[in-house]
Amino acid sequence: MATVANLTRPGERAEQRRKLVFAAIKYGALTALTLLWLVPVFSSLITSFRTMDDISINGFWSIPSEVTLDKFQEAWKAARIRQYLLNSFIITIPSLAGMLFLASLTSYALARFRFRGNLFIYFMYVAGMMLPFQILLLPVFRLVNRLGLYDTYAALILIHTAFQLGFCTFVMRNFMRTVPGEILDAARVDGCGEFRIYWQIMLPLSLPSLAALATLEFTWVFNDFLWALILLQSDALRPVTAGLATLQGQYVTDWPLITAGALLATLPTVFVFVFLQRYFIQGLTLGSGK
Amino acid sequence: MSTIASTAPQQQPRHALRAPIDPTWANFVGLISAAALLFAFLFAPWYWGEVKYNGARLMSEVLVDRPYGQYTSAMIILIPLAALGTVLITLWGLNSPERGKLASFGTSLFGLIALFYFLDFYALQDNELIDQYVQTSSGFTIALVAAVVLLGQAVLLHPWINEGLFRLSETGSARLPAVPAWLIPYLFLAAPLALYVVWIIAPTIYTFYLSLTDWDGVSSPRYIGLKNYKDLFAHRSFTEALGNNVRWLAVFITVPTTLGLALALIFNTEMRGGKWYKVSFYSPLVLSGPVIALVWSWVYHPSKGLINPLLVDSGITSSPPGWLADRQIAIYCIIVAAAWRQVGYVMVLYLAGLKNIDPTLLDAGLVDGTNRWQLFRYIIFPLLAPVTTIIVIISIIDSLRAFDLVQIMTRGNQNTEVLANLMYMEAFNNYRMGYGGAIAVILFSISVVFVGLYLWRTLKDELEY
Repeated sequence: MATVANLTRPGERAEQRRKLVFAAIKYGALTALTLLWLVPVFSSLITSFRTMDDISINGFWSIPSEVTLDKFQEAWKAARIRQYLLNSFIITIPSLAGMLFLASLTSYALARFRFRGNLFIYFMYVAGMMLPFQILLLPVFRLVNRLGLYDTYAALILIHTAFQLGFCTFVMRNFMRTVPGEILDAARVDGCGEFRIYWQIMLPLSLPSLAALATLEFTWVFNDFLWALILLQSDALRPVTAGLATLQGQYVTDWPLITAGALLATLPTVFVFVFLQRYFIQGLTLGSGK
Repeated sequence: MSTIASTAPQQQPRHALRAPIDPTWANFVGLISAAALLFAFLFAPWYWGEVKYNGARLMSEVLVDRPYGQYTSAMIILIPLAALGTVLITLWGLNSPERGKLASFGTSLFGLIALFYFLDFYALQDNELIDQYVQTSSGFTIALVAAVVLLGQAVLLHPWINEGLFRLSETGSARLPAVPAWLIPYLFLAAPLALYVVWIIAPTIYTFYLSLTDWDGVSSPRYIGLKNYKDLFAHRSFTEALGNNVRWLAVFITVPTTLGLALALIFNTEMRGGKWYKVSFYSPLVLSGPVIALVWSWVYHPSKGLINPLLVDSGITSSPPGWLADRQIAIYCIIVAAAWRQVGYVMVLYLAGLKNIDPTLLDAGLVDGTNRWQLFRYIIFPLLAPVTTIIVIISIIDSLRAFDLVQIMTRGNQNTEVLANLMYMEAFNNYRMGYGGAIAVILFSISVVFVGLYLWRTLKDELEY
């Protein structure tokens, strides 16, 4: 290494130094920007460990006079975050299973068969995924009331399953088209029924797209706020998004409690994001329709 | 792929030697009953009379110690556990015949677990409240039957019954006509399409009708022609909302797009720790609307927030802006919070686009002696054009959908009304559902232009094909 350095001409050494300085500036600027970007997150984390008295008297930009976990405890039990989170799971998991299963059925038919209306049905699903929710609110509200499902988990599970079918079908249908047809034909020649081909060959081969979709859809359904607002009334059934909005009304000035609640509410999606990040990003790019 | 090819021929000689037990029947029965169990738990009323809740709701009452929780045994949590467990284990079993037997025994075990709830309900516990006030209903009964079937399905593995089923299916399939080939795709489509039409397509059309009525959510809708639309354009709140949507849109297609592209270009090169920087920028994507709204409301809080105390303490200004309380800038404060999340999304899409660029093109550019800016301006950016188009369209559609942040941060006050929120407030706060429907139709009509563009971009290839 040393000999190499000695052999280089002085001009090149200056060039190297220039590169090093440039890299230092680049990393410094990026780190500063990243920290600035995450200020809202970090500062709410810090706030949730403090008390409102402390913040009111000393302001946020002061050394905390005491650090406490009380606000998390209070948010968990007294502010009912525990219950809201449970509701979110009761709504999200069946919706997820339902939409993935139904969308995989649709996608198999759309990707692997030629029949009248194939492209039209596909268009319908893709168009549906971009609709503004507002166009559905009133009739769905009416339908849910007619079916006697108002203020039940079932209403939310059904609408999430139905609405997300569009996106899931879009992604999975395109994925299934990339599976080579020879595999399926070989199975067909062996006398395998269509449902078995779908179930035992197509689905296992589509697992990557299923994983990406499951991760992405989990966050989306978990983070839904509007439908919970429209289709539920009882506080006991609210998912965590709608629950947080109620908290804000209830504990107007207690910012440490609200930020603690918000952080607890984010834990499941953050967990998914941290461990399944690859699938999450994959889903996003698949879904942009490139 | 190769495993499928190699296992298929191996199975046939084994079949010929001795008829093995076919566990598919047992697994299939297990799967169906688990689905029935879950369905009954989520959708059907568990009790009738005093407590008309379904199983899922009763369970949540138990788990968080709410009053109605005492009407059931805490063991109710075993029901969804058993159902989900069975679904997983039977799916696992159905996918490969070797595991079928084990899956069937597992299913029986889950059946036993589910039955423990009923045992507990009838025999073990001595709860006067339940004895007095509770009469079981359809959900409870279906669940009980399903649990018994879960336990019992292992019987189908017994050689006699299994062989009988095999013969029965042979004669059955011989007698029944085969499903005609043209019908097969429609069979796959039927269930999801029915759900989609009832919950998405039909409501979309029905809103158009509702927008022509004076529906208030209670009485039946009465046709009033275009009155709602005339009112709409006469009201100030509507033009205000429209204006704010345009502002939102203008910021969304410029700021997050540029910033996201810049970040994507930086992180596209190999760099140490690049992954962590990337994660920081797209992590806001997993936060829900309400969380972002609450965090930013606090950041903007005039006296106890994040920005103002800093401004005052550092002596920059003694009368800092009121942010969300200031009618002039409140809407931009909300847009900044929304853009904060959008940047990560744009970055992800651009990064994917950059990965698809053929590196030889860039090398060719470098050999020709172009500088970095020229490389970007004349090679990279034109190659990214399709991605940019999609991003712009998605940004427009997202800005028309904007609702959560406005609803929570200002509820549309302080001159921050947007169409989506106005529609919600009119329909569900003021019970002017017909009027709300008219706003929804307008919002839909604007979106349709861009959704059409998006469809055309993504599906162009399909049409040519």
